[in-house]
Amino acid sequence: MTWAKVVTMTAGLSLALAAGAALGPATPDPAAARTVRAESFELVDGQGKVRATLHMTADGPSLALFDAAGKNRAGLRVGADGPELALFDAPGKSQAFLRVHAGGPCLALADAAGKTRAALTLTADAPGLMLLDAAGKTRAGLVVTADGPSLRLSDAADNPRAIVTVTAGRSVLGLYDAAGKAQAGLTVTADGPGLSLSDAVGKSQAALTADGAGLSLRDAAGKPRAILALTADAPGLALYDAAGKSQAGLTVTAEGPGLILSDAVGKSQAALTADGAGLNVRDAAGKMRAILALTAEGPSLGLYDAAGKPRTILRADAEGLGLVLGDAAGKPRASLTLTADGPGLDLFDAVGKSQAALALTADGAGLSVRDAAGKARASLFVTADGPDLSLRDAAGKTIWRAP
Amino acid sequence: MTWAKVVTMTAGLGLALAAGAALGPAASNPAAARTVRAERFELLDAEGKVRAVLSVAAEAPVLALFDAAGKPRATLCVDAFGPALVLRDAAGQPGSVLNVAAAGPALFLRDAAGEVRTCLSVTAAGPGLMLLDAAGKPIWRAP
Repeated sequence: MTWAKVVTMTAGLSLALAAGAALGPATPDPAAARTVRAESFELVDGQGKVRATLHMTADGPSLALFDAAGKNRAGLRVGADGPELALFDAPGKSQAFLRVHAGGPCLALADAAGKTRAALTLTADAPGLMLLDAAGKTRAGLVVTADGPSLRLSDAADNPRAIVTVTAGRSVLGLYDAAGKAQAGLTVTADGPGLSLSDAVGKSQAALTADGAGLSLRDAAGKPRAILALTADAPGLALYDAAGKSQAGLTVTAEGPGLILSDAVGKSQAALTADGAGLNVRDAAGKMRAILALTAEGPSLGLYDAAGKPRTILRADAEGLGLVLGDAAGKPRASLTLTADGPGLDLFDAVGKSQAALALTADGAGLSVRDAAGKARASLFVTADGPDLSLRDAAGKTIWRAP
Repeated sequence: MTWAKVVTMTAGLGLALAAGAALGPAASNPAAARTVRAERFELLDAEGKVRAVLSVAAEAPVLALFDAAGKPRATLCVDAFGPALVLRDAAGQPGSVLNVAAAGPALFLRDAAGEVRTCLSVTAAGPGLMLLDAAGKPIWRAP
């Protein structure tokens, strides 16, 4: 529809409106008969043409107005079903129709073919407005029920494609495909707005809310597989398997971001944080088995046994590289270091005392073996001066030396 | 409201509209004793005030109903633009207009200032609903 055309339509009213206003109340004629009774009244124009009739029909009284060509253009009657007003176009087709019957009042507008294209109705239930296409299909409808207003837009096959409803507790916009399946829904409730997107069979596949539940994505079975949420504390992303078990989680808290990976039963298997805790890997029992961390001192990797004892620690700090191997009791038993002075190897007893040390420095290579009290009892050095081997007693006194 | 009910309400319109067309122009028969022919009919109230007039004005038949103050409040006419029903306010200004023009039928609702605020129409392009602000500017339309 060109709305300019509609506005033009109103321009044509001027004459009719003016004509109505110009009628004015005629001056009463005291001599006029108080009552004129007849079965038919005819209004004739200056040429003697009948331009209006007021007469009785089988259904009841009827008023008809005719144009200059003698065509019936307006009719007002009261029939058995109630009063009716009809306006006709020049060819004689009903274009506008207003009636009141048992079902309630109804206003209908028709197109040039006489098809009803717009209807305004009021029943005991609710008022309604409908716009119809040339095939008679309702393409747009607006009703106001006790629950609230509802707007429905339909396609040419009469399938509703968009429905907007407002009730006491919620406002809803629903979008549907050609098969009538819900495809998208936008809802606003007291909890906040929510958006839902569905698959071809109408199952919700994605939902977005503003109440902390965030964005959730579902699979074809309707199971939530991903949830992106933002709470007062922090944003979070959770991924689930087909069984609904949490498989991965990503959060950002005041301490920093964190990533958690879980096994098939939903137990945390690996965690990665940026707060110094680094990457944690757990076994099926939930025990921490590996930690990869990066602190201000430097990166480190720790490997732990099933009992949670540290068995291998590798770190790189300001002093250099260090590898520590521990026993089942968690005691360090071997240490391999690389510093500015050079590489070194230390072996420790069960109580953590160094028993043997092998080092390579700028001066040369050296091997030192200690007793249980920590006293060096044997040493072997190779320097620029040559090799030197010495044995000491418990008091540290050299008892043998070569060369 | 159930949509089925709305459809049911409009379903009978075709027949009713056709019945409206059957109102037909009465055959002119000056000899009929039971018919009163005139160029103007006036309906008076008990005080002798004209409350309704059926006449031909500007070559158009018009039925006008007047209130107790003598203001026209409802007119039904057929003029050169087509048939129109006009409901007026107490000042005599048109408030609601239902007409059939060359472009098609339309219902116009005007505010107290005389501005069209709602327009429901059917043209060759189909039905349409338009809501306008006080300045006459469209603020919502469908489709």
